[in-house]
Amino acid sequence: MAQATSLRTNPVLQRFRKHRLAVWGGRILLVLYLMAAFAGFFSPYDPNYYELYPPKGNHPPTRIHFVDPETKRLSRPFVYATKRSIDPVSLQPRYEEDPSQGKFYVRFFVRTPEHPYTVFKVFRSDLRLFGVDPPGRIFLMGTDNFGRDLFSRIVYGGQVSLTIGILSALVSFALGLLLGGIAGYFSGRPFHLSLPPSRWRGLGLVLGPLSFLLWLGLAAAALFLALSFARLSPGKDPFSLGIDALVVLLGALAAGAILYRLFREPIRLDPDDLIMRTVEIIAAIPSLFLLISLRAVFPTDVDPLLTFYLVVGLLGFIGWGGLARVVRGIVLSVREMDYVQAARALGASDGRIIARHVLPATASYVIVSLSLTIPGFILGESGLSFLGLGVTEPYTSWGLLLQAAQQGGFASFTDRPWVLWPGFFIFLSVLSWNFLGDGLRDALDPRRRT
Amino acid sequence: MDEKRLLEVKDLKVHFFTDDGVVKAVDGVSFHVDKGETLAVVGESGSGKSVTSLAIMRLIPTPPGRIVGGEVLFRGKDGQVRDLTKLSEAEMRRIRGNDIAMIFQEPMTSLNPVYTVGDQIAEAIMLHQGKSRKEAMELAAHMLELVGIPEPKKRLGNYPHQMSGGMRQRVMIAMALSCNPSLLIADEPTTALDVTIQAQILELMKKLQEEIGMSILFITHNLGVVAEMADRVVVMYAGRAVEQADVVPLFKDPLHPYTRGLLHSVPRLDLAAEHKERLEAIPGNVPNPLYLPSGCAFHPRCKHYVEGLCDREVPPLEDTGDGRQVRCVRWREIREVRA
Ligand SMILES: Nc1ncnc2c1ncn2[C@@H]1O[C@H](COP(=O)(O)OP(=O)(O)OP(=O)(O)O)[C@@H](O)[C@H]1O
Ligand code: SF4
Ligand SMILES: [Mg+2]
Repeated sequence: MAQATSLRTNPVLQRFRKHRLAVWGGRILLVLYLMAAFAGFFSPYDPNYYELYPPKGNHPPTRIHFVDPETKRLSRPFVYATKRSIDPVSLQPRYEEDPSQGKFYVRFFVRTPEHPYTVFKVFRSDLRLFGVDPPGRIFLMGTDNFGRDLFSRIVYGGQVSLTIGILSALVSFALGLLLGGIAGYFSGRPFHLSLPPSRWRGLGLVLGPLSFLLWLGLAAAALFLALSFARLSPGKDPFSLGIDALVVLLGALAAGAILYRLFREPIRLDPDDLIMRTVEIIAAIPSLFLLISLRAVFPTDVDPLLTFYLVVGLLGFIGWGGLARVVRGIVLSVREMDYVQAARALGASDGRIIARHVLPATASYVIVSLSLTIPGFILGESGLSFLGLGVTEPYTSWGLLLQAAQQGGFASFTDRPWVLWPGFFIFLSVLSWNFLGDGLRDALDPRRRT
Repeated sequence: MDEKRLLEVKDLKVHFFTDDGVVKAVDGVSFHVDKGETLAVVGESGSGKSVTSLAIMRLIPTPPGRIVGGEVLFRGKDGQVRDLTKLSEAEMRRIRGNDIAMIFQEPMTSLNPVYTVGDQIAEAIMLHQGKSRKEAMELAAHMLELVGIPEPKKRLGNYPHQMSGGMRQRVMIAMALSCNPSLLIADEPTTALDVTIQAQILELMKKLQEEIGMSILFITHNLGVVAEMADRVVVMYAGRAVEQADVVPLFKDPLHPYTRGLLHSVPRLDLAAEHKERLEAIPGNVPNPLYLPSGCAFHPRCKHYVEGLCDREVPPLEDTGDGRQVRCVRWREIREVRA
């Protein structure tokens, strides 16, 4: 029977499994997202914690020892505490292992009561995956110039970097799917924006006068605009008076044209035209410029993280055009399929046809394109942070961490290469999403349906 | 409406308002279908057969098309007669599939490739009968058995691409008949199939018609199929009915020159030997629907055409007295000559 296609035999899943890179991409993403979700558990330190004394700024990754230097035998992993000195030439801090303080064994599932954290802002906990007893420190990927643990900051930064893409992609996909679907499905079926009084019957008895008022208002507005232009224009010479007259004439003409159409015939609008023209207008908006101005208008006393999510969410609001175009195309072609006509002939309603025939046809495209759009937003986030438009301290993101890394100039990369770790995470997540998207596309491609 | 009438189409007019002008695809067509009978609608490509059937179902794409006049009276399962052109969309949906079902020309594309056939038949059942999915699936299996598909239970889980064209058309028939419609509209249901399969499908339709007692509106341009299936025939040309008669008299004694042309263009093995008649195609082409010839639309192609008589006014559809109708000013003379 139909439901016999269990997960094991599902052809889509089978094809996906054959795509090794995609499977690995999926696994890596799973780990990364788990780490971001339970950041407190995976990070050994609070991302904003640092010591004033002794300072630990620009500390290289802590070396983990597996061999006991005395017995030369394999031992439980341990670290040494470090001693800080200032390089007399470069004036940069240097750290050396100090075995005199003894070994600090790496312990798993440690509790840090003095540094609790919350999961999903609700559950409080202080259990961490690993750690060493103070005053020993374990910096897996070194520290930044304040001495904050880079690995912890990366784990927390993932919360922003990894979700920002999903958020904006979801906003833009919801809009693109809905509006593209409407444009395609109702293309060629214009709706009435007004009805002439002669056709006010039934529901039109309510909507007719209502839309009438709206258009009358529009006509009045056109006239008003033209008149106030004339009233406010300062020039009194014949040339500017002529311009005033022309503007008034244009306003009157526009108002007249609206009134004329209003009484003569219904004003009709094809939803396809409306939506597709909107897409074209939106495509012409320079998004970076928009983003900078949006950032500027947001009040500064609002939580910067919230601001950032809002701003990038707004990016989603202007990013739906491309998807809407493609979805419209798919819907337009599905709409003409014989099986849609057959479904209609069986008495299916528009809603049913959309749910059963139209949306599923766009599903594979949407899934694939979603998984290829999210990495774009991840990269976008790092770009924005680089420009100083991303999240701000005390929050962090991979982009922000990278930006902080390049502050020391070229020397920062040669003297303390570990600051490039956030870049590796960006690279890894973008690559994984791309592999995943690739695999999904191959698995879902309708041309490869057997 | 007469008790035995199921469907009565009166002066139906369907026009398409295109950028190039108004296409009068159907321009004043009247016919009726009685309970249990098969009415065939024949005519060349573009004569308006499909548009007529879609208009009955109210499935004309609007815009550009619109039913601009006429009535479609239909007696529902509840015995009530309604004018389908006046029903609301919701009322019409209740009739589609439930009272009137339709099968299409292309069995290859009339099923959605991503659903199993069982799923699609069950969907049709659930649309009109308040049945659970399970019951609908059981009924679907029963329907597959009815249309002669072996191992119906197993076939329910098949996807359309796993079936041949003939099988798919059987599935389409199963779907169409799953709600016991009183009228089945079949728009060239066998055109896309090869000849042996075609015969099987026709046989099946005839058998099911007897079992279920439905009426069939059969659209085709294949006169061989008409002779096989139909009780009565409507011949259409350029959006109008030009002749209407029972099937036997029509084949024996076609009155309209167009009908005669159609019949002559069918190879007839039984006559060929004695009469040495050559296969005659009707000269010329179907007229451009935007610029129909004046008067009798057939006149540029008619060998009985008389200037000044045929090209003035559209000839009326005349009753011939023996229950037939014909739209030709010269039908009496033509009949005399033949007799
Ligand atoms: N959507 C449409 N827009 C414009 N004209 C149309 C449309 N649909 C049908 N027509 C016109 O209506 C006329 C009748 O078409 P119809 O499909 O009914 O022909 P038909 O008799 O079914 O032919 P066939 O045997 O090829 O199926 C044609 O001339 C066609 O141009
Ligand atoms: S009316 Fe004239 S042209 Fe038309 S079919 Fe009759 S004879 Fe031919
Ligand atoms: Mg047709």
